[in-house]
Amino acid sequence: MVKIIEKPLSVNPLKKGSIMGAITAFLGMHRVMPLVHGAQGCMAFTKNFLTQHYREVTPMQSTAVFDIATIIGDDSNLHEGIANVIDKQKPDFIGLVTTGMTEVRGDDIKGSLIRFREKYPQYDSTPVVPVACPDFKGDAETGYGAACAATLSLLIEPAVRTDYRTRRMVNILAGMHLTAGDIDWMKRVFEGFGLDVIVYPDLSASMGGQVNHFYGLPEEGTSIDTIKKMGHADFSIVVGGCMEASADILLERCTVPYKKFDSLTGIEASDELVSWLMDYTGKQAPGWLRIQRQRAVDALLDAHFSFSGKSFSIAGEPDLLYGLGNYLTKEMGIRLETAVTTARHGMFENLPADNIIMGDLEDLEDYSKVSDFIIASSNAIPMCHRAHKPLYRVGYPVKDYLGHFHRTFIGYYGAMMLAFDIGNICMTLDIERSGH
Amino acid sequence: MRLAIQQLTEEPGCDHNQKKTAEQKKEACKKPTPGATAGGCAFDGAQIVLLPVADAAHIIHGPITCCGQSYNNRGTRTHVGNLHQYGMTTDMNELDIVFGGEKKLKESVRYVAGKFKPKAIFIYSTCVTAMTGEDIHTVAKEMTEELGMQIIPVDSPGFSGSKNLGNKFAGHALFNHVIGTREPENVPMFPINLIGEYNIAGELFQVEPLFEELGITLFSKMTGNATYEELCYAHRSKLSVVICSRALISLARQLDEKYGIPYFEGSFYGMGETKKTLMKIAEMMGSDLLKKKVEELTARKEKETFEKLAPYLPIMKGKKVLVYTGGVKSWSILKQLEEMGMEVIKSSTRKSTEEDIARILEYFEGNEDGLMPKGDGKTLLKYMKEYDADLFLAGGRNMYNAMKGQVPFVDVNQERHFAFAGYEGSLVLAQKICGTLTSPVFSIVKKPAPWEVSFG
Repeated sequence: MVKIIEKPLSVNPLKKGSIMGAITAFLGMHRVMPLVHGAQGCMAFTKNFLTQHYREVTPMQSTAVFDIATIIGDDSNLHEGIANVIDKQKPDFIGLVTTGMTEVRGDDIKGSLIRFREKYPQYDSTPVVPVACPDFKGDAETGYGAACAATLSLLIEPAVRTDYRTRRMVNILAGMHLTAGDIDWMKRVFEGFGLDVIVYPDLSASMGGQVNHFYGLPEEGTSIDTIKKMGHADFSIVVGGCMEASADILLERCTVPYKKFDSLTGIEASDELVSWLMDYTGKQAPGWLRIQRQRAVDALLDAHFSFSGKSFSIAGEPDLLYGLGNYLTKEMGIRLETAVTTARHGMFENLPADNIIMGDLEDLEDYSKVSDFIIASSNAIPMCHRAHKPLYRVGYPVKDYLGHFHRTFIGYYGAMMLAFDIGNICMTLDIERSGH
Repeated sequence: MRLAIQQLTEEPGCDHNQKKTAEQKKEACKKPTPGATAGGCAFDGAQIVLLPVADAAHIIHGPITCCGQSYNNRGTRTHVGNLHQYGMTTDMNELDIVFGGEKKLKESVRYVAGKFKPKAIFIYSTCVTAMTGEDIHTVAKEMTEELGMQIIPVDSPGFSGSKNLGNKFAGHALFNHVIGTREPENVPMFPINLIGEYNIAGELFQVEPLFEELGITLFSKMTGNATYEELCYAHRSKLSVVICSRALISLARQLDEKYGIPYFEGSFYGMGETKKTLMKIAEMMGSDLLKKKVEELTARKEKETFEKLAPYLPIMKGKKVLVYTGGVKSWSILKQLEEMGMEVIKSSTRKSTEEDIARILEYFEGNEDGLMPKGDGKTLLKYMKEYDADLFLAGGRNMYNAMKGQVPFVDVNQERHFAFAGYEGSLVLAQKICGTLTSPVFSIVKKPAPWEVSFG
């Protein structure tokens, strides 16, 4: 049962506006400019937020809707903004993200874009992908999923398949909760089974630190040419509920079938993926992957002594929450006191928690009294400080730890590392409590 | 609302406005260019000014982005309370927008008043609630009566302008709803208002001991480490010192007009400016004793600081710096760097007023090449190369631009964890500068990879 705490406001918000998710998705694409249609604060806050999280240059722009005349609504800011971005940055395409303000104003974005094309034919070669992101609806994962679906639906080519039976090319539709470490692990596993993969969007490449020069547009993520070809793939793998809409588009428009994994965190979820890969390719798992599983099993055994009798609480977007919650409760045997989340999609309602709450970090603070530790973003630091509880950092933002984006939380390797990390937290508590 | 914005953008005390024609004056300060903007909105600016008041609660009336993306992101420090660590928002959903959110806002105020027992509550309007016509003023009035607690409306829709204008909105709210609402029991000998110092990374803590030693009371601090109560007393100060914020000069002027409190603009960046500011306070207080004390204190502190700086000065000597920051810092930091023997090659004027620019020009001896009106990451890195600069000094937003360019960098803005004010601050700044200048990291990252080296 999902609890909704009766209160009129959100205190210490867990939720981030959907524009933050949409911009994140665009950052995982090659030479796109995310352009936020609204007052400049929406973009500025989000830029600050994501820059601190990734510790990378995060290109994005704003139409800077300003002053009363534009509040009444006309095309000028939007058109000028698009034209300036194309002139200055020459992106491969623009991700146009609306905001609560332009949504309330009832801007007709599609109509405005048609008028833009009529007025400025010289910019015809730069596609503009509009994404509706009213921040009074949905959360960051919603915006992320919406941006990915909107981009696909505008850019994919209807597939004419010539190599139908090769079963070689697979789209990995990567949810917002995945880190560069997670994406790297998936690429290696799929390659290990002899498959070619398109990761969409690919934040590991653009925000993972491999671009060593200055850039005005995100580089190395999924390119527009690659996105166009996704309809030619033989199969799609969905990781996280927020990417299902993208998979549906590929299925309906290009008949690419898909398989959805709600989580890849933990031994069981990893087994499910590997079994599927064995079935799909008819190949055996590579040796290194078998070794990773053996090590994960060993790690769980070593760590389990300190797990028993512990409890924790967790807060995060639904996809993030489900995978971690599931692994810690069902495979580690740690009691989940409270799970707080931001939107009603995905599988989190199935978690064996004492409380499942749609809420904020105040709810997490109030309903985690018996928890031994907390799993949440850096925004839970003040509350953990007040409650004297250790915080294991996940999600957005993690701004006070280096290297979070390169940690792996999925697959056998992620299962092993999580067993160690959580085991260390529990063991430290045991040692402290025994008075040493 | 329209009227208020006009009033605030036509600031007579703001000297760049005095030079404008009547026509120019009607235009709001500096319009951003769509598709080529940087910097926050008016709401951001209002929150920067008021959030440091940590025994008051701050409720943001709007949908989630305004609070959700900005929560837990301020470097302000305080000993007064912990409400600056709380983000509160009515988190408007679709239904609230259709049916109106004033009831929700009232219930939020009741909830916060009951649970957190703040000294006062600031309620902020945002783009969406301003557009749908939510009347935060009436809500504030009614709730003030109901709860017997001061509820202060802050008009701060992001679309109304830049961060600077938002600073003014906050000043406006303080002047109209807070200052002069209570009387202090005692007024000390030398009470002053410190306006525009937000105690980022504890900068106020670096200068507070100086005032203590001089016997000057920071009677009303706006707003770093301030109690709500002291803000109410600001009208009883004898002098306002505006730090680092031309935006709040309007507040100082209003205090002057209504209560006859004179004001001037000072800075605590660098030993020279610190001394100048303290001396000016002593002069304006008309106390020779105070002047003498300032003279003694600053001479002693300068001597001590130069002794402590000794190991760092040779490293910094003659090194070339590119400075990209806003407002007062754009000239006062130049002087601070100069004191330590560094040479600034260019400084930004993006957020500077005419007077700021005049002072920057003074530093460059009239050479306009030193001015940098605009600069994106690419341009800044180009300058670094062109002028063979050794160090890049800018805000956190530019930190990763600098890292992509693999150049030494020091963060001088909002989110940093180090304080650079007063004497102590100069030492910290020197340590940070030398830390990055002498780091072995820069030579190792420039080493070509084995596969980039050609043999033969």
